Amino acid sequence: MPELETLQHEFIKFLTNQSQNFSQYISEQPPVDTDIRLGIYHNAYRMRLRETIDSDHPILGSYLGDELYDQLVLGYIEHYPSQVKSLRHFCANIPTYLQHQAPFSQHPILAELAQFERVLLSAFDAVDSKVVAITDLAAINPEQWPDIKLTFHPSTTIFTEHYNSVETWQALKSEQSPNPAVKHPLASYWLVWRNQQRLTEFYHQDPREQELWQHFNAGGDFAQGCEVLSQHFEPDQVPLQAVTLLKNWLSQGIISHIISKN
Amino acid sequence: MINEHFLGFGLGLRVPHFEEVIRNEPKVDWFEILSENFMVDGGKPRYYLEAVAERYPVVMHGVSMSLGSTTPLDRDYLKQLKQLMTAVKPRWISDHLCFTQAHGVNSHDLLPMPYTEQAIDHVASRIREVQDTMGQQMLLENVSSYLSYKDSEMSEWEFYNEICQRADCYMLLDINNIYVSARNHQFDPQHYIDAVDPKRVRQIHLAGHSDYGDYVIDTHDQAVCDPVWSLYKNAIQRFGAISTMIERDDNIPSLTELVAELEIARRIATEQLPAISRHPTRNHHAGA
Ligand SMILES: [Fe+2]
Repeated sequence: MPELETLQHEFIKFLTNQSQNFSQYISEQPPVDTDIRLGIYHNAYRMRLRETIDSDHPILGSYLGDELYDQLVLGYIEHYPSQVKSLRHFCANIPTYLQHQAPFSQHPILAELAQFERVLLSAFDAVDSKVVAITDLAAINPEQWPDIKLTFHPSTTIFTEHYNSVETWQALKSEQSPNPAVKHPLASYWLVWRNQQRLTEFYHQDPREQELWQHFNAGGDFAQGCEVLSQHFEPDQVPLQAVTLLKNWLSQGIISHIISKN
Repeated sequence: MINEHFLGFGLGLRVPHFEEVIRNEPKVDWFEILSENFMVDGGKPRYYLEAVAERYPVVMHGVSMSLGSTTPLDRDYLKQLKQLMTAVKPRWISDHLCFTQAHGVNSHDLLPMPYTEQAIDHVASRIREVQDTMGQQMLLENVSSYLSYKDSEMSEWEFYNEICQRADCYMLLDINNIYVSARNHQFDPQHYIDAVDPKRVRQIHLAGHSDYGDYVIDTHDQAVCDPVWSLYKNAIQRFGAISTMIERDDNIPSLTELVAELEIARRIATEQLPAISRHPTRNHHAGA
């Protein structure tokens, strides 16, 4: 089907500014110029993609301000013609684009801020699952404690930041002016998930909590988890610290299953 | 005149109305969903969809099957569509007579086909392939267009009729799209409606557009205009009781306002076919 294939390819090349040959396929239909007719499609392609960026990255937009935001939108649309069927994924490469493209690349917080917005979006429509309550933990026999393992809610993700990105996001979200970008001496961690009211939430995890979370997320059990914590706490403090963190996760509603041997 | 496929008068289900639809159960006989918006794993969209599908008949409308493309049908997409159908149990599924992608790039737009014998063969065989995969017939919608190709060998309505005939699929006739294309290509929209095979029409779309004088753009951001209402009246006269709905995608008003607009469709159709008022639609069942 060479004719049809060529025609469609030319149309797409026209939309993405790869070719100016397309008008040769179009009938003249006065009084409306062919350029106007083609322009309707050319605009529609860009408008739809722009609206997608607007709705996925509102906070990035207000951080950049109108002029830089326009530059991002135009640049991204030209560099990344849509390869995805669903617009839900069109902006997936925005953090990468910001990381590598000047002038955005000179401000590493931008890519991080965009990445945080994407993490929130992923949590929004991740797989559903029930969560377990503190009472489910109480039902577990003390002898079984060393063996218990956890499954976290499927929406749960760790966002790792090297700059004050989340603080910046929060300021902009509440229409305050953010503090200047600052690099942290060490990476900082935020746990992001969708709660049982289907709202996206996040909280800051200190490095010790983060280590324990990673341990359980990788399938580790409670006894080994206590060993992880023993690098940070006195031996007699470890079980209490571990149980406190576990209860905190249960009350936040991020644990979907507690797996015990019996 | 009224058969089992007549669902009554429906609306496109849109995000700002999710909560109100399940809380107030407005006087709408059925909802159309945009399939792609619900091809996600979970969270709010799927929660509301399932709640709406428990309360109302639902049909699934897609925008990215790309039936006109020359690249192979996207098997992953069809698989996801089938999974969604299992969850939603739609009365039927539909997509457009257009192509949306070529050479790996998606336009996210409904791009027109050249009206050629070659394209008829191509699209009809792809619809048959989809129908075989899905195990059911589908509906094909006419799109708005802003240009015509030198290659075209026939009118849009001849092209559309012939594809539906050869594919043995049904038509989702968008009256506003007919009007928009008629203005853009200077044909008589009534002529289009008169030419469509009445046996194949199973659903009607109504919508608003933006009028720029010499041309018109299908924006779905306004109320349905008078010329489209009068074409709708003629369509009901010709096709009988056809499941009708209003599409609104931008500048979305309150649900109350859309339900009031939908009542215009109900009134026009009932004037043409009084039997419609005795047809047991969803709300009659519910006694609401
Ligand atoms: Fe439509």
